[in-house]
Order: sequence, then C-alpha cells, then structure tokens
Amino acid sequence: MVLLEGIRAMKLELKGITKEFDQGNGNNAVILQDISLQINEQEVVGILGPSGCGKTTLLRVIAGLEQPTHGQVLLDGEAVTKPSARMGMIFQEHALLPWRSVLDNVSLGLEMQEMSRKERQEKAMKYLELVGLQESAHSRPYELSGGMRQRAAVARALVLEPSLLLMDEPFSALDPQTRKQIQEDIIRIQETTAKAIVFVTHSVEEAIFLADRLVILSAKPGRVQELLEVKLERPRDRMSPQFLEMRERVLGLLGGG
Amino acid sequence: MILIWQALALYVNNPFVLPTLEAVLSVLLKPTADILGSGSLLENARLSLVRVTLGFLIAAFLAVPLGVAIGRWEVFKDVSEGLISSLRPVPPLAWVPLAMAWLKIGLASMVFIIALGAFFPILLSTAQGVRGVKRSWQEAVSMMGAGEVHLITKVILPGSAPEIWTGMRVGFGIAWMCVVAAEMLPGTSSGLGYLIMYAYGWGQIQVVVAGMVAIGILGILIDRFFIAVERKWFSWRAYER
Ligand SMILES: Nc1ncnc2c1ncn2[C@@H]1O[C@H](COP(=O)(O)OP(=O)(O)OP(=O)(O)O)[C@@H](O)[C@H]1O
Ligand SMILES: [Mg+2]
Repeated sequence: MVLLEGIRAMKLELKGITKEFDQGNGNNAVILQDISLQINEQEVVGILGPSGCGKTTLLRVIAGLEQPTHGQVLLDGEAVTKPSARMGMIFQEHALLPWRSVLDNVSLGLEMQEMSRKERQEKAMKYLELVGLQESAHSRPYELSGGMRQRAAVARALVLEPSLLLMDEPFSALDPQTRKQIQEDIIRIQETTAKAIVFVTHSVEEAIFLADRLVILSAKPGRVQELLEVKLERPRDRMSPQFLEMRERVLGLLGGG
Repeated sequence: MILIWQALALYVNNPFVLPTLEAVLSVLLKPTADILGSGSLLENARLSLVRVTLGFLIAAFLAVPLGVAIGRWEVFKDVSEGLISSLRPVPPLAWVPLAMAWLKIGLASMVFIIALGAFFPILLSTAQGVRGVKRSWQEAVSMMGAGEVHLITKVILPGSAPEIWTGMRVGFGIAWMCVVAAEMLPGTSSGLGYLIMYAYGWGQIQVVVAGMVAIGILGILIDRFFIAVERKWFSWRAYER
C-alpha cells in the first residue's frame, strides 16, 4: 500500500526554546533552556533524558499545546502558536474518545473538515488497515487491548496526513512482545507514509531501533546535552554488535549525564 | 407491605381514614372513569405529565448551555457562583407567591415552579461534568485542528453527557414533585395534585390513595426510563476516568 499522496516538504525548527513554569510561590522553574534543533522531512528523531527533564514539555511546545516562554517553533517557516492538524500527536495514554467506535475516532478529524460520511469512512478504514485494525473498526476503544488502542491512536493521527508525527512514550505501557511488533510497524508506516517523527522514550533500545537521530537532554534545566546520529542499516538488528555498541554509548551518556 | 395495609384497613374499618385495597384498586383499574366531575385519573395524569414535561424542557434548555458556560469559562463561573449559591437553597415552592404575583394563577406559574425545581440539578451537574472532561481528549481533538465550537460539540458535550443526563434525571424527579405540589395550590382545577386535594375535600380517601399510587408509579416509570437510556448510551462511562 502506498499512501504518499499527503506528503509535503516539511521542516521543523526550534529556535532558542526556553520554557518556565510558574511554581505558584512567585518563583519560576526553568524546565527547558535554550533548545535549538532542526528536524527535516522524513526524519525520525528520538528524545531521551532523565525523568522530569522536560521531554513531554518539549513535545507539547512543538505541538503548540504549550507556549514557550522564549524562542519559537517554526513549521515550514511559520510560527506554531496553537495546535493544528499539520502535526499528529500520539499521547502516552491513547486519549481515544470512549463514546465513539474506533472507526469514528479515526474519522473524527475528517468529520470536522466536513468530508462526506462515505469518503471519510473509506479513508479512515484505509488507515485502520495500515495499522492492522480493520477487524476492530466497530469496537469501542475500551474493548481493545492496550496495543490495539495505541494502533488506533496512530491511525487517528495519520488520517489527517500531517507532515510530522509526535509521540510521547507511546508504547511504554505495552508488554515487550507487543512493543517490538508495534515498533516494527511504526518503521513500516514511516516508510509508506514518509512522515517525520519526533518521539520521546525511556527505552534506549527503542530509541536506537526507530531513530535516525537522537537528542539527549540533560536535567534541570533541560538542555540539549548530546546529538547523535544513528547510522545503522535498516532493518535494524537489535542483537548486532553495532546496535549493542551504540546502546552502551547512549546508556553511558544518560548515566553520566 | 400491601398485606399489612389491607389488614390494617380491615381492622380500622373506616374508609375516611384508611381505605381498603379493593376500594383503591377499583379506582386504579378504571383510569378513564370520571371522578367527582373533575375528570378521569388518566386525563389528570396526562395534564400533570404535560406540565412537568414543559417545565422540564424549559429548564433543560436554559441549564445545559449555562452549565457548559460555567464549567468551561472562568468568567461565567465567577459571575454566576454568588447568584447560584444564594438562589439554590430556596425551595421551588417558596417561589409560589412570587410566581402567582408575576404570572397569575395557571399554567405559566406552575411551569415556572416546575422549571425552577429542575433547573439547578441540571445546571450543577452539567457544570461539573464539563469540568471533568479529560484534558487529553480535548488536546487530542485540538490536534486535529478543532476550534472552540468543535471542541464543545465533539468533546465537551458528549464527554459530559452522562453527568448532564444524571442531572436531568434528578431534575425530573424534583419537577415531578413540584408539579404535584403546585397543583394542590388554590386556583388550580386539574392534574393529579388537584385530584387528590379535591377528593380529600369530598372525603374520598380511596381516590386520594389511588392518586398517590398513580403519582408514585409514574415517577418510578420515568426514572426507569432515564436509567435505561443511561445504560444504553453511557455504558462507556464505567470504563473511563
Ligand atoms: N503545567 C505545568 N505546570 C508546572 N510545572 C510543570 C507543568 N508541566 C510540567 N511541569 C514540570 O516540568 C518538569 C518536566 O516535566 P515533563 O513532564 O516535561 O518531564 P518528562 O521529561 O516528560 O518526564 P518523564 O520522563 O517522567 O515523563 C517537571 O518537573 C514538571 O513538574
Ligand atoms: Mg513525560
């Protein structure tokens, strides 16, 4: 299946992003400090860092769900000031609407664009097939397993054909077997749909398996500690010496960070 | 319960204090028969139902949008909080004299009282339901490019529908009590409340009890309807939050 009709040239730029949160006692906590990054078309970027360093916050700033205190997020040169359909987001907890069937969840974005019922169901079905969920189209989200819910969330994010996909620890609640399977599917989907992906994870293995590039953040305040390219051939073998070597290196950076 | 009643009625042996089961049943089983020239049980029940529905609908049409506004926008919350907390403790029936002064005796003042009774439960549970709608749902939908209108119609309203419905169920229960009480006021000439007051005046206690039973049964049936809809439409609620 080829789903390339939605692709456009894409460039995401973060320019000196600083994010402070009011702590309620008059002090501001600096969570992110001066983060500058560029993410190109079709690139897969993994964000790693200790817990609480601001990974989720960074992703939310990119998505426009949170405003940076200083700096700018530019998508194709345009400042991102609010959420838009040009980016798709997959939340840690699927965030599917429980009163809608899986199909109706996936087609909601199209429904709001006033696409006809038939058309949007066809299109939603196409993306459900892509994530292997066509059989469950008419189930409610709570009738699905955790892995299937995340797949539905992926289909929902893809259906609007965003040029960039954001994922915040999307698979952290899944068992290792399901997780591996869905990681492989993500690679396949990325290749068929040619999206750029920015994802957050705690799993170094997941990060190396998926990403072209890794961003390692340091804690308090969150800064870019290290940028690494993952120059491993795809499909990647988690057991290959190069993979394991890379893993050691990243673990060292995180531990010593 | 029924056996105790029957035993007691036979023991008391005074139809003006406690009518027997047969006497009450004979009224209930002939719902279309005219009672003391004031219409049949069925006719009066119909009138009460029309009034309560009218008042309830008015209350719902006002309370749901206002509840959404209060639950969603701080401005509305601040403005309305004082007003609500001072008006809510006043029982709807305490408004009767004012309602009669403004609207005269009749349908309008009865509907006013009923609507008042249903209004606050709907308003408060709508506002609470709206505040409880998961943020992640809203964020997920805003990532699809939804504006405020879409957020309200696609997330906030369906997401708080179970609470709104519960508020309506409670509100309808109160409205039902209000209609019966309002119909007992001087100047009314129809409805179940009127019927039992009127029959009482004529010493027809078996009609009074039959009327009470009818009021109770209708109240239960309506409540059952609300519960049935809740089970059918809002079963998702049990799995989420
Ligand atoms: N809305 C907010 N208001 C105040 N402080 C916040 C807010 N959101 C996040 N923070 C703070 O910002 C810091 C970073 O949070 P964030 O969730 O981005 O970390 P994270 O790197 O995603 O952590 P984890 O790996 O545990 O998910 C935390 O100390 C958190 O308390
Ligand atoms: Mg996080």
